[in-house]
Amino acid sequence: MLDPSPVLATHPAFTYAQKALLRKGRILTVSDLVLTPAEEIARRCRVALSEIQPLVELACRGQPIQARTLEDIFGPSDDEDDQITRQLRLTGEKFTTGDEILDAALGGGLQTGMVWEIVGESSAGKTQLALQLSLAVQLPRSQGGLEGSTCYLTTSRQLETQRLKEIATAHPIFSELSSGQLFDNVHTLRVPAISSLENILSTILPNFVETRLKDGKGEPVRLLIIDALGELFHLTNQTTTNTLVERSHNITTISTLLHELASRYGLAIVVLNEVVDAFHTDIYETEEDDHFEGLLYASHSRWFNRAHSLPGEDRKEASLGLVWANQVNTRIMLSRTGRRRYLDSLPAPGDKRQRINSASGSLSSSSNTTSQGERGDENDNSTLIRRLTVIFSSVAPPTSVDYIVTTGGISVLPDSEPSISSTLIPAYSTPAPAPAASSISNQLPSASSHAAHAQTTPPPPSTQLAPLDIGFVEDNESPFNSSGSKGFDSDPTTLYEDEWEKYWEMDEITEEMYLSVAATDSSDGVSVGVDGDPRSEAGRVGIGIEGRSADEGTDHHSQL
Amino acid sequence: MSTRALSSLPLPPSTLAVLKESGYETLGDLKCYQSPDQLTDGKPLAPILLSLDDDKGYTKALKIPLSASQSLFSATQDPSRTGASSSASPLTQSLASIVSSRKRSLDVIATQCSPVDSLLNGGLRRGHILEISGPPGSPKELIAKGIMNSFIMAGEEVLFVDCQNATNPASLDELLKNPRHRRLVSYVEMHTLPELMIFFNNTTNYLASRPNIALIVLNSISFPFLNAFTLKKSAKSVLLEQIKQKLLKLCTNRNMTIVSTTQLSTKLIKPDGSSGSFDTEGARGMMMAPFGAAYLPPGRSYRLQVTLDMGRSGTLRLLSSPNTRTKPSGDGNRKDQPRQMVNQNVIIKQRFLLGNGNLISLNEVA
Repeated sequence: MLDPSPVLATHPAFTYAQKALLRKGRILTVSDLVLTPAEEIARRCRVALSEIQPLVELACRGQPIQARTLEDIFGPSDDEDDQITRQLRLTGEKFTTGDEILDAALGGGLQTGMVWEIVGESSAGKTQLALQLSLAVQLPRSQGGLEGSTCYLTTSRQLETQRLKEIATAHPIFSELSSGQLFDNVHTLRVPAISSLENILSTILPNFVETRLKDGKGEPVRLLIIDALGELFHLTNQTTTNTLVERSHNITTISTLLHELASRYGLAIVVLNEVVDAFHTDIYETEEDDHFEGLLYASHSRWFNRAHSLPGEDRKEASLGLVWANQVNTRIMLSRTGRRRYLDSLPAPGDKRQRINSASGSLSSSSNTTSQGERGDENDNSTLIRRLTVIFSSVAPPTSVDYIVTTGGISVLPDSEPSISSTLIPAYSTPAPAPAASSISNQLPSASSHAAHAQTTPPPPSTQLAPLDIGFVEDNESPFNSSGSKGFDSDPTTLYEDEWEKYWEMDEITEEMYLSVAATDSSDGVSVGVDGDPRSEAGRVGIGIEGRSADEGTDHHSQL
Repeated sequence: MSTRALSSLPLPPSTLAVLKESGYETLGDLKCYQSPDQLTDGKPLAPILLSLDDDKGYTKALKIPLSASQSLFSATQDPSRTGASSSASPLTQSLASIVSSRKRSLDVIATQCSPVDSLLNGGLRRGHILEISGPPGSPKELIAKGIMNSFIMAGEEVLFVDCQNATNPASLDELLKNPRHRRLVSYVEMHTLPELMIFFNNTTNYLASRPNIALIVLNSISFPFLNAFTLKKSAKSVLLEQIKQKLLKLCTNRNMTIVSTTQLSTKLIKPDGSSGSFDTEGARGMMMAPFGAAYLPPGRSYRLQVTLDMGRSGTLRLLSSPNTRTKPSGDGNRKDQPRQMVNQNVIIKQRFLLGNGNLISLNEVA
C-alpha cells in the first residue's frame, strides 16, 4: 500500500494532549496539518496561533529532507545504503526494446522510474510494442534486459497470449526465454473501470510487488503496462460538465499513483492511449501577443499532441488533453500512414518468411494489425510502413523512425524516411487548414459541427480544448471554486462546524483506542479511514483475488 | 534533553546499530552536538573522535552517512522538547558558512545556453530566482541542467528537487564530466503537496548543515499543486505565499540561487484579459503557468517561458524580470524602456534551435 499521509493518531512525536487538540479542529493527518492555513487551524481548534505553529514544526521534523548525493547513489555501494538510496538507484535503468534502432531513438532503451506513453490508432501497433516490451524486460542483463517481470493491465480485452508466444518464438533475442518462464513473468489483470484502476494502483499492485520482493520468488516487477488508458475515459454526448471535472481529477489521481509507483519500485510504466481526430482551426497565431503571457491552446497544443514528421501524420492527436500530457515523461506516437513499400529482404528479426502475402496471414496471426492495412489491392506484395514518432521525451530529442510489424514484433527500418520537420521552418505555419475528417466536437455535449471557414471570433471553447481540459477549467474557474462539483460540500467548516463540535465532544476517545487503531494500521497496511476490509473492496470491483479460478483462460500465464 | 529513543527516529538501521554500539541510546545522549557538522566534523565533547572524511562525508569512527546525521540533528533540535541543553538556536549558522555565503558576491552565472543568457543580459544573477515554464516537451529541464552545470564546474553544490520523476538521478549523472563531481549534486524527490510543504519547512535546518549548496532546482514545482485538487483555492494561495516568503529568505539570507520549472495549465481568457469559463462568449483557450508569479518574490525573480515547435525550433520569452515596476504606462516608448511598466510589459523574445543537447540562438526578435 502506498503510504497515505501519516495519521496523527499514531504519530510518535505528538502527545496525547496535542492530538486531542488537533482532533478538535478535525486535523487528523500530517497532510491536514501542513496544508491547512495555520490561522484556520487555530480557529478550528480554538487556540492561539502561537500554539499551532510549533505543532506544524513538529510534524515537519518527523519527515526530514532525505536527499542523497550522486556519490551516495552511484559511488561504490556499501551495505549501509539505506532504502532511499537503493530506490533511487533503481530508477533510470535502461532495457532494450528488442530493436536496436528503436532503443537509440528512445535514448538508449526504455528507462525505469518514468512514465512512457504510446498513442496511436487502434491498429497502429501499440499492443504489439507493449507485448514485445513485456518480453524484453525479462531478458538477462547481459542481453540488455532487467531480469524482471511485467504487470500488464488490460481495460477491454484479454492479454493476447497467442501473440505473445508468437513474438517470443519468432524474435531471436527471446530464443533463450523458455515459454514456461515467459508466462510466469507476465502478470495480467482486467481493469474494467477508473475506480478499479485507482484501487489496483494504490493497493493491489504495491502489495503484489512487495510480496514478490519479500518472498524472493520469481523475478521482481520492473514494468507496468496499462492497455489502454484512453478507453476508460470515453465520453458520450450525455457527458456533463460535472463528469468532465471528475474525470480531470481522475487523471491526476491516477498519474500521481503512477509516478509514486515508478519511483518507489523503479518501474518503467508504459501507458497506451488513443488518438482522436485532430481539429485544425483556421486561427493559428502568427505571433505571440507581446503583452500577455498565455499561449493559445489551439495553436500550441499541436506541438505536443500531434506528430508532424510526415504529411498527414497530424490528422490524429493524442486524447486526454493537456491535463494528461503534463503527466507523462515521454510521448510516442504510432501511425499507419498508408505508405507501402516493396521490401526485398526485410531487416526483420530473423524471420525469413517475410514474403508478405497478407492473404496467407504470415505477417502476423493477430487479426487486428493486419486485417485492412496489409491487404493491399489485389495480391500486392508490399508491406505497410508505419511511423513511430517520439513527440517529446525528457531523455531524448524528438525523432521519428519507420517500422513494420512482423511475426517477431516491431522492427524498425534503418533507412527511415527523414522527418519533414528536420528542415528549418519559421515558427508558425500560415493558416492552411487541413480538412478534418470529423471534428472532435462530435464527442462533446454542446458542440455544433464547425465549418472550416475563416472566422474573426474564436470558436466556442468546447471546440478549442480537449474535453478533460474543459473539466480542468471548469473546476478552477467556477465561482464555487472547490472540488464541490462532486456534489457534496467539501468545506464543512462553515456549515457543519457546530455539528462537528458536538460530535467530538460527545465521543470520548481514549488512549487505548488510539493504541488499538495503531495495531490495525500496521498489520494490514490499510488506511484506517477506509471502511470495510480490503477483500470486500476487491470483490466490489470484480477482481477477487481468491475468487478467480486458476483454470480460467486457456494459458497458464499467472494472474494477480 | 529528552529520553526519546533514537530507534524511534527515521534513520537507516545501519546508523541505529552504529549509534547503539557507540553507546548512544537516546536523544539526550547526543545533546553535546550543536550541529550535524559537529556530529561529522568532530569537535565533540564526547570521548569518541569523529572526523570528516572529505570525499565521502562519512564519520570515520561512527560511520554515519551525512544524511543520517542531518536527521539526527533535526530531531535533536525539536523545539517542543523543553530543557534542551543546547542553547544554540537551530537557526544559527556557523560563522564559516555566513562568511562563505557573503563571499559569493553579486555574480552573474552563465547558463550555458546562449539564448537564455542574452535574454537575461549575460546570465542568471546569483541570489535570484529563474522560473522556466512551458508546455510538455519544451526544453525546460535542459535549461535548468545547463545552469546546474555552471555551478558544478565552479565546484559549488546543487540540490535538485524533483517533483515529478521528470529527471532521475541517472540522467543527472550523465551530465557530469567528472565523477568526482558526484558529491556536489544532491537529489531528493517528492510528488505530493504535503511533502513539498514539509520540504520547505525543513530547508532552513537542512541548509544549515549543507552550507555549500549554492543552487536549488525545483523541478516541476507545479505538479504537486495541480494534483491536489481537493484543496481549496484559498488554501493554495496561502501555501504559495508561504513558499514566496521562504524563497525570499533563501535568496537574501543565504544568497541562494533558485531555478524552478513549471508546467502550464489551461485557462479560458476573455478578450479583456480576465478569465472566463466554459460559457463565456469569445473566451479563448490559453495555456499559462498555473499560479502566475504568486510564489515568486517580485524583486528577485525572472520568469521565462519556452515553447517548441516542429520539434526543433522554438521561442523563449522573458515574461518578467526584477526591474519590472507597476507604474502606469505613459505612451509606451517600447523600444527605449522595454521593461518599465508591468501593465504594458513588453515580453522580450528570442528564437532558438534545439541543437545537440542545447539551445542555439536564432535571429533575435525584440
